Amino acid sequence: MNATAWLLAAALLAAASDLPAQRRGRGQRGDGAPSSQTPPASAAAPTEKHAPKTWLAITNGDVYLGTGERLTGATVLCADDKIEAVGHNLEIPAGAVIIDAKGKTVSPGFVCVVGNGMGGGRSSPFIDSVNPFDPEIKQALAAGITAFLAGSPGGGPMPSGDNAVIKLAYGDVTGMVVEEGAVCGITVPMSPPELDKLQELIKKVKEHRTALDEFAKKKTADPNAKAPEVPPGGDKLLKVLTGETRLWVSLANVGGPRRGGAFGGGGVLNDTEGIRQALVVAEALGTGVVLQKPVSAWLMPDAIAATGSMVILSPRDRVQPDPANPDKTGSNLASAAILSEAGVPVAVTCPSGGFGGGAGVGTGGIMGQDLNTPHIDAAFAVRGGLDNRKALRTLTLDAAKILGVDHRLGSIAAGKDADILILDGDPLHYRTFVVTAVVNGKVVYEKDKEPFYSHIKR
Amino acid sequence: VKKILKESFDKAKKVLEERKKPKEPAKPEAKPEDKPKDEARPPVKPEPGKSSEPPKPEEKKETPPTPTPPAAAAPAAKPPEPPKDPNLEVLADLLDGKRRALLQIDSAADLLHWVNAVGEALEFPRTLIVSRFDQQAGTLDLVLEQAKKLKAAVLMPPQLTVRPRTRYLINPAKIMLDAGFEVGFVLPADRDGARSVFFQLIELVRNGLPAEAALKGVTSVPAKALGVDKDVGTLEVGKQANVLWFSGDPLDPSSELKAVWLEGRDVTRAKKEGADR
Repeated sequence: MNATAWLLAAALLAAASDLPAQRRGRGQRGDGAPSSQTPPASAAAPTEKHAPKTWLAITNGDVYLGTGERLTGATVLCADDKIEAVGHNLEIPAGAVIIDAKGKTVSPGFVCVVGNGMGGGRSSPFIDSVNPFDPEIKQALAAGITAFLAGSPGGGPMPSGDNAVIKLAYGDVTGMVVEEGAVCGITVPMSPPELDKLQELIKKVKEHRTALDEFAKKKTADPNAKAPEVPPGGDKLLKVLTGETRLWVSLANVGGPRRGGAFGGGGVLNDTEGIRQALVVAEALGTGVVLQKPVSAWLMPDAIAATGSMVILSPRDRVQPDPANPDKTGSNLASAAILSEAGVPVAVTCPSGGFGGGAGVGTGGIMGQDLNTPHIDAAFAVRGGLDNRKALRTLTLDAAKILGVDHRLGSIAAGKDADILILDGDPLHYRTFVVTAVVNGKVVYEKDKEPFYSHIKR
Repeated sequence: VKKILKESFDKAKKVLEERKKPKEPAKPEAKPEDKPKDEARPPVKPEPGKSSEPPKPEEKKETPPTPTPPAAAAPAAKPPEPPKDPNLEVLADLLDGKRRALLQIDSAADLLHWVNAVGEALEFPRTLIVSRFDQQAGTLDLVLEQAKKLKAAVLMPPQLTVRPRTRYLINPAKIMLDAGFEVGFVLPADRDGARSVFFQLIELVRNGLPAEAALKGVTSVPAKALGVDKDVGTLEVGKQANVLWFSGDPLDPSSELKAVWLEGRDVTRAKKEGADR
């Protein structure tokens, strides 16, 4: 059994022995940490090649890995900007900065699939326009956000978009951009000719890929062979096919700032047509797509799962059903639970703000509708029946997957970026605050030292 | 933008290398080369082109013949090959230490972007200009360590500012001075602004800036930063007779500005016009 398997086994054991924390209330965290567990050997032993300059150890915390598992009373060890190991009885190198998280919980930083402001810049190249001293960064960190999608995910009949996954590395101008052009977007429903045109292009780009593979072989035989050219307008689709970029599907008339929507009016009653079109595109591509705030996804979870597609939801969004057809229209609080049960990765975002702007942290706007409380948005999914342990994934690993950055963000695991929260309770409990936020292995937020919530004591 | 900036400096480095090359094989040529350089010196502010351009053609004409007189055809073909980019010439002058740059960096974020673009190693005579305090992108006191590495005086507005989203007043001039910077001030260019300069300085002094530093900040520091400290900036023998005459301490609000002398002439309008304002 290799180290990773051990870690996983240990994690599952711990998870099984712990009740979902939110139901147990605060302050009653089990001290029944299975001490019999074999310490998972640090998944990646420090190699000689890279000698980390700084070590950070977060000890004794109840560690939510972001995958749905949790380790009680465990240590997270970070080397420079990466997680070195997580588990029990880890050896802490001399000179490491130690943060004792006894009685606290440790979670991966929240990943927001929508965002605005927060020093992220507005257009590419984002590396040139990020603002590492934006005051909103601190406020976002106070909300638990450590990464978000800045810019526009795009839309229209052909893939477009200008965006980047931005990390809230306060004061670090080079540490902020995780990936430029992480996603591109189309809008459905589109007219039949538009859909035909898109499918035609997908076909051409697929042919181009095979031509590229053949070219690789040809080139070894004939160095003068001409490289095949990308079909016009196919750049973004090519990246979608190679997995570099995620294709997001905007469901026209849905999503966007529908003031009435959140309170029981407005929006469309049923967007199954758009979802079906999106799935047609997903099938043509052979890769999953991401549905942005679908209303009716709960009616067709298996069809969505079958294409490997993913869903972004705002569980608090309400669309009233059509009284004539109440079972097939309107939104459903249980959407996230139903989709998750079918195996569809779900990310959660706030009700306000369309994609590509609007939603952000701040003191303005509609109270409670913005990104100031992402954990409460996820808790609404729990209210709708989603397993509490799984629900954290909607803000961490599954959100990272939807942005295509899950190789770096979204969970506490060896080798991933050291973006970690220390919280004073269950991550999704409404009373919980971020005590300390770590981004790229550096402490970037401390509740006691910032003006936002330092006055709230319990 | 960063890429262009970096590439421009890299190209300028090459231009500088090229300039230095011919000196070694052809020593007699060095003298005519030096002359234009001296001519190019007086305009210290980087006024692109004009000053640096004229000397170059002369250099070119004179250098090629000496190393290989017989193969004159080949070097003669050279000059048209690299048409000189006046902007790069200016940058090369800068790297050569012949010019001084005013580097406008308004915020902590800008400073990190600058270092990220051109690197820490790049050195040239420069003065940092902060045209306004930008709370949204951080004031320079947030990145003191990185700013120190630029080894430059700082010119900033003669004002206090606040910490972002608070009313907590800070005195950036004092913070930078305490950190070891030479601090000067960017004065408002309009009439009302100019009249308020002394009151602004008074407020900075009231908030901890030494009076001496406040006066230096509007005299010798900017003079040095602009490269005109030979002629102005202090009251010294041989310098221009630009003198203000106050009835008392310049930073005392009750002091009156009695007379203004510019290049040895009394230009006090009130006196000349006999106005009783």
